[in-house]
Amino acid sequence: MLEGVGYFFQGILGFLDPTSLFNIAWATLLGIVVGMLPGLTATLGVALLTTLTFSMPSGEAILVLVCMYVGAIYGGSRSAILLNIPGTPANAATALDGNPLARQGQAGKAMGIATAGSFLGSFIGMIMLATIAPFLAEAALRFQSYEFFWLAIFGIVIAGRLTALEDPLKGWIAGFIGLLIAMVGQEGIYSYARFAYGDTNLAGGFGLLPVLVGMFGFTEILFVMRQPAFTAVKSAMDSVIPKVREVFRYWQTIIRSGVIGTLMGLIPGVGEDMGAWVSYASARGSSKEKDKFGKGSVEGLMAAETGNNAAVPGALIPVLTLAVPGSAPAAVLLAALFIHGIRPGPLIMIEAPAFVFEVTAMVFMATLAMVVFGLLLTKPLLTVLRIPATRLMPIIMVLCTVGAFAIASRQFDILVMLAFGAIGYLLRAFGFPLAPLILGVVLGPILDANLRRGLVLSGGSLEPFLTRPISIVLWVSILITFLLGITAVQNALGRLFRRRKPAAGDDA
Amino acid sequence: MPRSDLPVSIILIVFGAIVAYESWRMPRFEAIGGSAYSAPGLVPGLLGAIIALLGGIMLMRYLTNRGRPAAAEPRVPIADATLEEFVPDADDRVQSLDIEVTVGEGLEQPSNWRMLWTLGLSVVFAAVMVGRMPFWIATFLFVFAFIVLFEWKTYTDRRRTTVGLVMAAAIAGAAAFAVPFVFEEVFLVNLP
Repeated sequence: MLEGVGYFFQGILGFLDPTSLFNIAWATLLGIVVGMLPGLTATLGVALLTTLTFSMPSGEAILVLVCMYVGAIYGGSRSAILLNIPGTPANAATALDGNPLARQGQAGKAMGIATAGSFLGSFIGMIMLATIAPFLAEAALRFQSYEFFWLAIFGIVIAGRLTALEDPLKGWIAGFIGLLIAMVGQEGIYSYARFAYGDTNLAGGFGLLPVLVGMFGFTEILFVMRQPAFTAVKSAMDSVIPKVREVFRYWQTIIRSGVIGTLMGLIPGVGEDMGAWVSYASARGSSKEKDKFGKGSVEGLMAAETGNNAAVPGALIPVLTLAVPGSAPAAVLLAALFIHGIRPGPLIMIEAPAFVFEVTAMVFMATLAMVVFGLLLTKPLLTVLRIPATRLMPIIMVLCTVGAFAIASRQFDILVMLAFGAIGYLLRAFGFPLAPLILGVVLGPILDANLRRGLVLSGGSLEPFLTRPISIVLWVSILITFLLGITAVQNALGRLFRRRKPAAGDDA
Repeated sequence: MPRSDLPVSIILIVFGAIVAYESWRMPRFEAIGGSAYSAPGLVPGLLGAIIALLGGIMLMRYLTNRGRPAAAEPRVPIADATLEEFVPDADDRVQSLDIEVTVGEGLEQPSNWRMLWTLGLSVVFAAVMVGRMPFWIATFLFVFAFIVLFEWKTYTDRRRTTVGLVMAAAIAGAAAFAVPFVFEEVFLVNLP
């Protein structure tokens, strides 16, 4: 543990040279801007920067990406508060109380509280990242093919359930389509090109980045252009510096939201959106001021912003220790790690013990930069929200094209981006969430290799898949999640519950 | 259940079945001592079957609930679902929120036409122009055409038209210069 603290401070000292500080500054600021602009998500921001940082030294490149990620999740709170339009999906819960505060003439206070919440959330998540990751990596050393197979299914089932609360079936279908997308191209055992039909481009498979830029960039452009345009923003200003007393009045909410946010980040593919929603719901459930929620509650705003920023370091935990992304932006980060020759996974604490703590130090530096920019550049940042979509979107489209092309210099990847952008539009229009699909694209190769390897090792027997201790935990969780997501089972449980508690209150 | 669930579920069943069949036809490499469990078609075949099965569940669900009054059409999944769950009057509040957001001229309603124009222009840019001409020229033409097309309705008199066209050209010019500069010169990344 003490070793870890040492690595952490070494990491911080390492980032105090002018180049790193400059990179931290521009990447975090760019992240905040990307987060503020509706239609530009953290995922797209990290994906486009992955292309841009292609030729940078690996440490600097990862630093830039972490800064973008932290900045974007925070930046989204600005548009949520001022426009009632969440800048990224992770800030939807922020809008519920942040915007009413702004309409009461307390926009500055709301932004201050959001900044404090984001800072504290990042901080709690960071501590949990540094403490949980080493243990998880050690536990994951016991994972064999059987466990990795279930982990891939677990990721899809849980992400499908949590990102489509209204209709988990669609979440699962999206996840399995994602797994299938990963099947196209050469497989690992016989180098047989699946679904390629003689086409060399298809034999190379679909790259994660072109698919992702399509679904989080082009799809978003189509949705934004379909919507009515908004232009003017009224900038009401009171002080953005939060009062310490006001913040720490809700210390219980802060700690609880930080822990919930981190755990939501940790669960594969779930991420910041649910980090914010679950923190918000739990804060409302245990608040003494329930009636204020949704009408400008400082506590609610604090919970949402603490929860989503805590999920950022949380989502990095499985990236580093299992090579499984905790959220959609983390999926890009995972790809970026591989591009830069870093091998995350159970062996990380053995092969590169300092790396987990260096990443923790990166989150710390990004969080500091976020607070500084968030509090100092309030007014200049507002001008970002005045850019009309008709002028911004064509430029984003140009960047998406470059982003899809640059990783492999394949013209084919531009077509992949366009095709998956259109598919993403249709899927979203029909109510399918895209996050489990992206998780599926990442988990597909893991599922494929480990199911076949496991079956060959066991001679076709399913026994080790079903009886090894960690496997049991995983498949039982999958079964429960699946059953609870089916309406018929829900109804039956509901009837049972009502019969037992006939005089239950109406507080849901 | 949204009405679109019917065609979507049928497409999923057919798609899953085709995938499963195509996976079945994949070689199994038994001649070179490959085990049936390592066959390339195993996992995609299972995935195809699962997608068809889930599509089937969706179809059954649609058919059993057909008689009931239709629920609202699906919207952006997370935000809206949970909004109502946690804040019962969310809809009213969202409706009343036009104070700080003013709607642009001529762009009042969600419009599939605008989406289709965006799709068309983007496809022409990314699939046709890029790679066939210098990247900066393609960028300039695309950004200029995009802005002019969507701001056309605001060009109501000669002055506005001139200002609008100059603005569009300036933005397009800046993008055509900045994107290649930042990517190729600063970050040493290849452009199409």
